[in-house]
Formats: sequence, C-alpha cells, structure tokens
Amino acid sequence: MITQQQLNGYLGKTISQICQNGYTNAHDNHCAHFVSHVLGYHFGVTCRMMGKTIGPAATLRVQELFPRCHSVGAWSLRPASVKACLVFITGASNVNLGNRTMVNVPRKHVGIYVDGQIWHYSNAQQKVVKQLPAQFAQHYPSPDNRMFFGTLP
Amino acid sequence: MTRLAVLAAAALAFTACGSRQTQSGTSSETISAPGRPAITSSPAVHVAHQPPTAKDVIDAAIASADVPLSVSSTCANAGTEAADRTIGRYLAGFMAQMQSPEKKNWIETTIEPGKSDKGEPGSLCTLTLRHEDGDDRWGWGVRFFVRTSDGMVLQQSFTCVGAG
Repeated sequence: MITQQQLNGYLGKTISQICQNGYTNAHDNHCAHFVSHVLGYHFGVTCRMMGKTIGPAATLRVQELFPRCHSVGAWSLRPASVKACLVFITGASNVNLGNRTMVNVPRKHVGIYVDGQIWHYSNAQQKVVKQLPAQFAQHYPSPDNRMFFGTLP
Repeated sequence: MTRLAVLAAAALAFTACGSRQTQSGTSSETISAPGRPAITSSPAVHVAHQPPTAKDVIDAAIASADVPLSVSSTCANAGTEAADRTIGRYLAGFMAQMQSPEKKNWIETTIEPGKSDKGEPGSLCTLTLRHEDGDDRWGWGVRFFVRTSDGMVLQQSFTCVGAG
C-alpha cells in the first residue's frame, strides 16, 4: 500500500518531473495523470498514447479511474477500515454510484487519501500538494464540491 | 467566452440541429480501418488550404459533428453527458462550459505534418477547447488527419484529446 512517506516524496513536483512521456502541457488537467503515475494505473487513455513512448504509461482521465475502484461511495460514508483510497470531487449529479460511473464534466478532480491527508496535483499551482479533506472540499465551489471515495483499483 | 468560441458554438449547434456545412460534399461512403468500427458517413469533408489553417481545422471539426464517438476508444465516455454519441455533442458539451465572460477561455489549434495509417502524407490537426479559472483548468478536443493528396479529412482518424 502507498504510504505517506512515499507521497511526501512527490510534494512540490511538477508534472514534468513525474511524467517521462512529455504529456506535460501546463494548460491541461493532470490530476488523474498524477494519481496514475504514483499508483501505476495504465488503463484507458494514457500519457503514452497521447505523448511520447518513453516512460511508464499512466491513465489520464478521472472518469476512467472511478469505475475501476472496487467500491465507491459518498465521502462521509467511507468505511472506517479504509485508510487509503482515491478521493474524487465533483457535482453529485455527475456520479452514478450504483453503476459506478462518472461523466466527463470539466469540474472533476481526484487525489490520493492516506491516513487523514490528501495528495493531489494542483493545476493552478502546477505542483503536487497535500491537504486535509476539509481543504480539499473547497477545490471547487458548490455544487461541484461533493466528495466521493473509491477504494484503490 | 471568446468571439471565436461563440461562432464555433453557434456553428456546432447548427449542425446538431440536422444540417451541415462542408467545403465540398460528395456521396456517402463507408470507411473502415483495422481495429476500428466501420463508419457510415456523409458527405466527405475537405479542407480549403494545404496545409490546413487554424480556420480550416475548426471548420473541419464543425463539419464532422456527426462522426460517432465510437470512432475511437479515446472518445469512449468522453462526452459531458452519458447520452452523447457524436463529436458534435462532445465538443458542444465543453463549449457550453465556456460561457462566462469573466473566465479565461480559448481555442487552440495545432497542425503538424504526418502520415495516415496507410502511410499517406498529410497533416495531423488538433483542436482543443481550453478553460482556466484557478484549479478549474481543462483542455478537451479532437485530433484528426487531413490527407495531402485531396485535402480530405479522414473520419476514421478522429480521436478525442484531453485529460482530467
């Protein structure tokens, strides 16, 4: 399982320091891209498909991560036994928990939760940051700030 | 929202309502490529200049609004609504998010020399709709190939680009 120590090693890094495939345009949203490089996810559309083929592939899209989680649910209902998971934030209407699907709306974001902290790629700051869940909940204004957990694929 | 985006959105809305504008129309055709589903399309789309200009790329994307999202695995579930089935609906979904005059929105086009799956020379064209408002930052669009020999937009070459 990923640890806080491992994630702290990414703090302050830009996507150019993480992705070797050149998919590093600062105007793109790299939240799922960061998560996937850290956790080794390479399903769906990847940076190797869209960039160069030099380094490991990483999934680029949030809506392709969400259905791969073994279980998903509202953040407030996260089982106490879940110490590490993915954390998603978007509007509630963009998520179908029963079908485990999320539509590709622009305002959606994902990070990695481990033992009370969330590591994610801040596209505004262009680097990996660490936040408490209460801070992460302000990533988007209401109503696009509903949080969901997804157990690690 | 930029003036360009307004125009493009209006044009896409127009095509989505059942009409279409192309540089030159020909008869319907069925196109297929290994590993991709056959696409019945009409009419063929041709660009006005070689290599294509930014205007040609936008025009070609608008004229290709009816291309199904099933054209590429990169377009699967790429629409902003689960019911989206075409490139036109896909692009319109993101254009609809570009309406605030207080936010930064723009259209980005790139044209690079390349070769088709069959080795034909041409231009690899990308149109990306972009938005930035703090952490609300994204770029979604399409990439397609324009054949040099006749300026034809190869419909089976469409892919959906974007991350996040």
